[in-house]
Amino acid sequence: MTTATVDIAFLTAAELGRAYRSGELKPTDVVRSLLARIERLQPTVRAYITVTGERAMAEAEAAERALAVGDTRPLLGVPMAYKDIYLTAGVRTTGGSALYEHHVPEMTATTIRLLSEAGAIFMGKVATHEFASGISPEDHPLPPARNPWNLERIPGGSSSGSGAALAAGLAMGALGSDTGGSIRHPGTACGIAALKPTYGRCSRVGVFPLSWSLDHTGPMARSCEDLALMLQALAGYDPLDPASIETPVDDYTATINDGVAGLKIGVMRSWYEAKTHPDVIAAVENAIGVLRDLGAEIVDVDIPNLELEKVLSIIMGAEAYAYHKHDLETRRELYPPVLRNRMLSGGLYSADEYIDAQRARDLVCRSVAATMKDVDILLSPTRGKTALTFPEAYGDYMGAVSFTGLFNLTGQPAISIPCGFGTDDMPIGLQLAGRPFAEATVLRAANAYESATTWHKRHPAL
Amino acid sequence: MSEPNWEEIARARAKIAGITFDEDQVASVATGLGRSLTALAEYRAKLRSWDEPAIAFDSRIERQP
Repeated sequence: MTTATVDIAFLTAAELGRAYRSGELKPTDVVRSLLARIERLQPTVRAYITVTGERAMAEAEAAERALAVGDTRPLLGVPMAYKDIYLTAGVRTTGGSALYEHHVPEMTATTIRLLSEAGAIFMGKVATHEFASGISPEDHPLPPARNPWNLERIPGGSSSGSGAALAAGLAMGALGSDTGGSIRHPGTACGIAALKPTYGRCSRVGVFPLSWSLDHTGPMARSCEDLALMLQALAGYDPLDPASIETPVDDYTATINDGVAGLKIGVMRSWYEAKTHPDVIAAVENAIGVLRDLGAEIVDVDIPNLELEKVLSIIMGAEAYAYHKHDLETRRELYPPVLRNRMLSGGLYSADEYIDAQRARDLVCRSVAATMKDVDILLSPTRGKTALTFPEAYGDYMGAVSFTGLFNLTGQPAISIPCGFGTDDMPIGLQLAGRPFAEATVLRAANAYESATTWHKRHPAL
Repeated sequence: MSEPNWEEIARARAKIAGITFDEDQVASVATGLGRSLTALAEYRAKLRSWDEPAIAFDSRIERQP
């Protein structure tokens, strides 16, 4: 394998690390190659908002020096892209919004600092739905990213640029954030691996909030192994985040190849089947068959009270309104109309409705926890259909069928991995959720499926 | 029972809250409000029938054995 023969853009972080240590690739060559690819694809995919090319090259040179003296950090020299709601000292952080179009923060998000300390290379900041919520219109100063599989479709969101960058081969890892599914939606829409860790597992310090009691940060990548490597760097207690939990961090790569034999997987068929497109049903049924063949025990589960998960929109709406109220009153015109009115609608809920929504949430949490005494993993599609077209997304993005918000309410870890393609040639995602802080089990099950299939090895022709 | 007029409800609530929507977005706002409050009504119906204790959600997560 030489630089000329390797398709650098689509190597995983783990493959890249092995190629560095065998001397087949150098970080400077990889970064140079990716920067050229970003320049070529940016006009069509629009994954990046800010490319930090000089910094990336300097970090690549530093990584080469570290590799030369035997540095074994697995993410050393791995190019990463960060959703533009993560604050980065000295580098513009827009939140995807005209309100912060020229904002240069003085602090860096804890999670980005942790990845830097792990040796990752900072390639730049990537597109986001505005304030992790509303997809931006075409005439926005920071226009939306496009789906590399079909430029007429959205790449999911809100971590849209993170998903697009990974699918287009413009980074080997990315950070996303997830309040109702915003890591996993681009995961399924772009055909990549995306993990929402347990609420409180990864710091949110230095990240624009959307809804404090639902917001999560987490890794996005092109393989489960890469997610494990990233989570190993990201997981831990942060006293500055009031949701952060001081609990031991597992070794996520130690058990990732242990397979699914002995795991009991609960299929949430009664919850998703009637709402899901036949293409997605077919792909998920095939995935269930693969997991069964690999030795998992498959059972159907019928969890009570799941219909209450729609109260998420009350919690998210009211909390987002609380955060944005001042700007909505004083700089109203800087929000695009659809987002402005959605944010304002959070002010329509009364105090008793917000409180009862949180109480309903508690009921949902207890129902799911009771089921999880009997199963290790819950299985569903990530979304009810493949990626929306832009007109569909502008019409009713919040109304699209999604199975992700439930695990924002419960705080459980949940992953989306590719499990097929629809008749429209767009990727389909499988969602696996585990018990709180059981990311290792989720990654183990997801990796078993990924290792037995080839969906994750398909890439869009660009 | 007929479906509530969510647009009227949204307008009335906006007046009380001092919120001004863009007129062409009111229908969309009303749709979202209707979805959310319908789900909440389901919870409140269960609350009455199940006599749930007065609990509040604690966002901190604990490990589950």
